[in-house]
Amino acid sequence: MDFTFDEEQRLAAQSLRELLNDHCQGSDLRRAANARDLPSFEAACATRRARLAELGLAGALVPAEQGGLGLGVVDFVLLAEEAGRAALPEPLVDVEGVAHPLLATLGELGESTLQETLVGSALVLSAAPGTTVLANAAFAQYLLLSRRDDELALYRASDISLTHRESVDPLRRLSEVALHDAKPIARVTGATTSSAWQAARARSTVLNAAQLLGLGARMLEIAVAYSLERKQFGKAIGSNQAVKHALADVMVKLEFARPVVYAAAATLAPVRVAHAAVAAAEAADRAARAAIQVHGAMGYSWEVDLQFYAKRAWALAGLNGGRSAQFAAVHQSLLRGELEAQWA
Amino acid sequence: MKIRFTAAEEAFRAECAAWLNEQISGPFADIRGIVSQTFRAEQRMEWERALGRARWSVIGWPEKYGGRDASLAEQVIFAEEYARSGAPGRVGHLGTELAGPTILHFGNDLQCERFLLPIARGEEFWCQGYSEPNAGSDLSNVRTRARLEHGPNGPEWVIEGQKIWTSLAQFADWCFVVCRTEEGSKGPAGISYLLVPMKQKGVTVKPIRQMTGDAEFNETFFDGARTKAEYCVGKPGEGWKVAMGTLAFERGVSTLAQQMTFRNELDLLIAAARENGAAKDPLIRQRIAEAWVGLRIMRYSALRMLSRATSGSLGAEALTYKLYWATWRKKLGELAMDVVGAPGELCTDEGYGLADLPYLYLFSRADTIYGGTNQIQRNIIAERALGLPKESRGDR
Repeated sequence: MDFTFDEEQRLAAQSLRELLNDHCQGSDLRRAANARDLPSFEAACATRRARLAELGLAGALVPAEQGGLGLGVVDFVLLAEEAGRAALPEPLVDVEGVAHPLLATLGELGESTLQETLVGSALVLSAAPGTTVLANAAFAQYLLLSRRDDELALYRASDISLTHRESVDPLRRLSEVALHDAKPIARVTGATTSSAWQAARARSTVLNAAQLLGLGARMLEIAVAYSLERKQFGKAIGSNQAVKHALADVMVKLEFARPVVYAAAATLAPVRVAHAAVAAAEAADRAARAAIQVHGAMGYSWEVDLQFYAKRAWALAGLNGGRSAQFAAVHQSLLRGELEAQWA
Repeated sequence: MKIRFTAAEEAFRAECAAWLNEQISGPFADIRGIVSQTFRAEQRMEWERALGRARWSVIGWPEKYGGRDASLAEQVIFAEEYARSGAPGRVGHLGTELAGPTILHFGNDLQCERFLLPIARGEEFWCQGYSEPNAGSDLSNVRTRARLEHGPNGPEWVIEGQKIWTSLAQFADWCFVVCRTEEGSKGPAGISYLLVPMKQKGVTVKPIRQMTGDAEFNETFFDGARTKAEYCVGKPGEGWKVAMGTLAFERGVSTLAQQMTFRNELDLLIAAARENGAAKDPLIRQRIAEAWVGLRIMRYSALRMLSRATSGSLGAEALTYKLYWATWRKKLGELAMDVVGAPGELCTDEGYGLADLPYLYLFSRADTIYGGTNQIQRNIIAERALGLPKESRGDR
């Protein structure tokens, strides 16, 4: 048992944080959010995209024999936290945490596409069966989609009907995805496919939980800074117990959610993943609520960056079935007596 | 204690309902059920005028000022029927609920004669000049100043300064401005309550975009703006009492109308839960039931609070009301998003249009902030109702 991260895991997260400190500040996000159309959005993100590609994270979770780095989800969890911390618009988590390893399960059928996306000359994303709206699909050349859990199919994005939908989070470029009768370029079916989707969902859920931790931590930082700067009644508002306690409660929520997310990343056990999703979403929500409250009316305005983080947290919390589905997963495991086995 | 309405009161209910339903399903069908404060403002100002013509605008006011001298029970009934009909939020509410009652209670005859009828008739709209960049929770820290000048139009106040979060200032004809009229004064002393025309050279309004995408709030700049010396409510330098009085009206009968709006929002949420199957989730069902319980509590509390109210003064329990409803509604917004699920993220159009429940969720974030944050409300309860020592200041 060891809940700490090793040097390499911490250094990777550190270098992503430095990159995002330079290229993913509130002002960078605002430039992208103000973009009128897709090309100007891409232009606003171009430098950051190029820097991210240089980071060498491509294929992080793809087995080494298929050209990846052969890492595990636990190696990626701190990176996802950093992505959340910055409200990163790019699909780093969706690609490296979810789509690339899923594409790798296609084996030889997906080989050439995988090589193309690993070198960065194309982008692949995935949407689990039942998902109709996908972020960043407009930037992808390949999509992993399917109508059923026991089918995994790879499509050219240009063969799929994508309709732009505006999100409450102005940095999430959403598309409604409709398969119609598009022909896949590769397709597999069967039981192993179901477990591939299941694993993809688990990775997506736990890494989104990690992003929520990052978002929560960032909102707490912003709120603390503001409470030191803003004066009312002749003193910093942060000197009032009402404000201090609200922020302390956020920290408690976040710190108790963090090991839950890490444990889920280490095993991907369904009940741990569900617990992580609930705990992280609650912590991020508490952070958003407290941070907006501490900012007073400013927190509610478009001009304050806080809204980007709060809206991202809201959007991510609703994915993969949201709170109800995660609680249902816990109930089911509990009632089936599966939790005893996981106690250790 | 009687909690039922009389036959005469029920007849009054039928009369209100008939008129409201006819209007809202007929000439004003376009503005039915609008939640955003700024959407279709022109039509909604027309709606205020229609209410005024039929004398439904301010029924609790004296007849000579456009009201009906309606009893508390009648006001309750009208508020209920208003919301039930799906009539939109009142863009005139800053006049009918705040400025009007303040002038009626604290103003002199001249001010009542000048201002009340135009409010009742929907001819003049109002906004509230309270908050400033450095005077939010600490309202008595206002820096906006006014001085008396004797010019060609007689004695006039000349106003300099900035207000912020001025709701609906872009549509307003008048603003009630809390400002400092005694040089060097600090805190509540030396503040006056002035009625200032908005449509003049010395007033500039800049909208502030909110996280909902809407721009209901504004920054309002007074740069040599003028108003007549006689448009000061209460004595010069004693406006703080008047300003606090206005806030008490905020907790008046309008709270009942607000509760009916909440009821409509809860109904909307229940309909959505039925439609998408969320209603089958026991956790959701339980929270819906809790929301309903909270709504009943608010209703009974408001009726009790209003029954005890005499001439604008409310009992200590009234101090708890804002904290309760704001917290309740914020939770309702969160429940709404758990009901809607992932599709709540989707806008309804390319102009950042939000569906009713996501809008409710985002807008309710502000409920525990405007009109006194939850933290300030708790201080008020502790200090004014419980008599605990005042929170220490950093500067005096």
